[in-house]
Amino acid sequence: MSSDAVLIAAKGLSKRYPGRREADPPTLALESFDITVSAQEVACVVGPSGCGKTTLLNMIAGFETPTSGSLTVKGQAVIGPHPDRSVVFQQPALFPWLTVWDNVTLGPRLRGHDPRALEASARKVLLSVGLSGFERHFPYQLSGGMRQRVQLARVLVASPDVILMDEPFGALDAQTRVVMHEVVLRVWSEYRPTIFFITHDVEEALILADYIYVMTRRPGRIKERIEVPFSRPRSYELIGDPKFAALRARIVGILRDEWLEAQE
Amino acid sequence: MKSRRYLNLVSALAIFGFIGAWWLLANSGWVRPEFLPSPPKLVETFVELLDKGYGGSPIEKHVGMSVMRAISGFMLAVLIGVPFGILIGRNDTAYAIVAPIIGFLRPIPPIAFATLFVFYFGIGESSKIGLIFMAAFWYVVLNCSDGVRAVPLTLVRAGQSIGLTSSQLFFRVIVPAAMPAIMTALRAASSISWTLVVASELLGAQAGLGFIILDSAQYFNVPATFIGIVLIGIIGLIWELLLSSMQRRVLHWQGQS
Repeated sequence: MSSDAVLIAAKGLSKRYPGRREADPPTLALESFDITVSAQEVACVVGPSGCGKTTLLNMIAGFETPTSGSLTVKGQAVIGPHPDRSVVFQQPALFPWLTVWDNVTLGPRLRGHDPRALEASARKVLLSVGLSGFERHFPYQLSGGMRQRVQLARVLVASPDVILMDEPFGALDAQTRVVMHEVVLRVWSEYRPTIFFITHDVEEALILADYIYVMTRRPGRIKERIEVPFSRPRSYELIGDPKFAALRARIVGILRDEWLEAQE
Repeated sequence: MKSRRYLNLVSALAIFGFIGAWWLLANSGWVRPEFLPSPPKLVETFVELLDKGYGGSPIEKHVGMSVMRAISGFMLAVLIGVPFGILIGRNDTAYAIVAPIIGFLRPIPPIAFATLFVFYFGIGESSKIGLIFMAAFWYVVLNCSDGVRAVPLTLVRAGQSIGLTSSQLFFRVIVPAAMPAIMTALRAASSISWTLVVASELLGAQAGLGFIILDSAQYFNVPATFIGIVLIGIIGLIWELLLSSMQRRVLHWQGQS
């Protein structure tokens, strides 16, 4: 489903955190890590907890700098955060003192976007994520799923090159998560963004992704890149497909082996 | 959970009960009437004070002086302390310099500095306002800097991620996110200011509620002392209610998510 243009390219990427005290050894979160994500691809990264997947996302977002190696997005080295690489967080990240509308439009407004064009694009984005009619609500008046929709809308309004999603639905209940997957699928079909999605939920990855990148334990590397063969548009009914079950079992198996090796 | 109406009724009855118990005690003969004037005697004294003033000044002037001193010290502490607290909250080095100094000064009861302030600034307004300012200032600085330091990293990153510049991030994210702590600082500072105005007026003031209390007690005019105390209580309560209603308005989004 994706075009061939490379959007995210990491080569020999390492990230080392200093130990707590000087005597402690440094922690290697990632070591000589390579990944290539094409434009308009939905890339899901799954891996055992602590494998460095959030570190990877934070480096693409520009929140953290690599210790060594190269990281480019659209051919440009990543220097600091940018609305072209905006993040949907798992934790509450909306500004609670702003309405839904102001949360979504704050960034472009402060960057001096034309108000009329912004209004039109914000309306369109809110419609896509299913939030029309909630413009004047405050975050505390919304459910967890609705708040994640607002986060998605806030990122989407800047027409980013890539949407970075850091376990965005990890704190939601299973039913809400299914609905949120449909929101993501709809947003992808309307805007065709590249999506870099981190999760530990294999089913979630299979429903959303073009490619699933299974990571090893720390220091994280890509253990396997798995193509997800289901055609789009997709729906939750995929989970009844025998191919879905087989892929799921295969990925869970890889993760289980990693986990067992880590215990040794 | 009892109904709100029931609880309000209980509160109202408690106030009447308190006044009633006072009345009974004052008339019981167990306490000398010079020490504990009865409520009707207080009302009588209050009417008299309204009519004739106290110590040559009308009662409004005493109230006005105290309020003016408290508000001056409070406003100074807020206007200087809030920006200062926010800035040192953002700068680890500045925080490391200031935190131990505040940590040392804060547990010292401000009244301990009172005589020094009189020595430095005389018995006029500046020593009183200065004392109130100093006591309120540390609370404001500490609460504001802690509030800024407690702003969640995710909120800051969200702001960076949507492309805010560092000054936009400061004014649009960090300051509003620290608003609950800033409001707490204002409320603490206001009650400290009001407490200290009375203490500061015990040192050579010619007007003010603290002056009434000190002066009347020296002349065994106990009813006037009580009036001074009750007025301080009522004004403090009104001030507190004003601030908390302002807090509810400004921070309607707080603690509900």
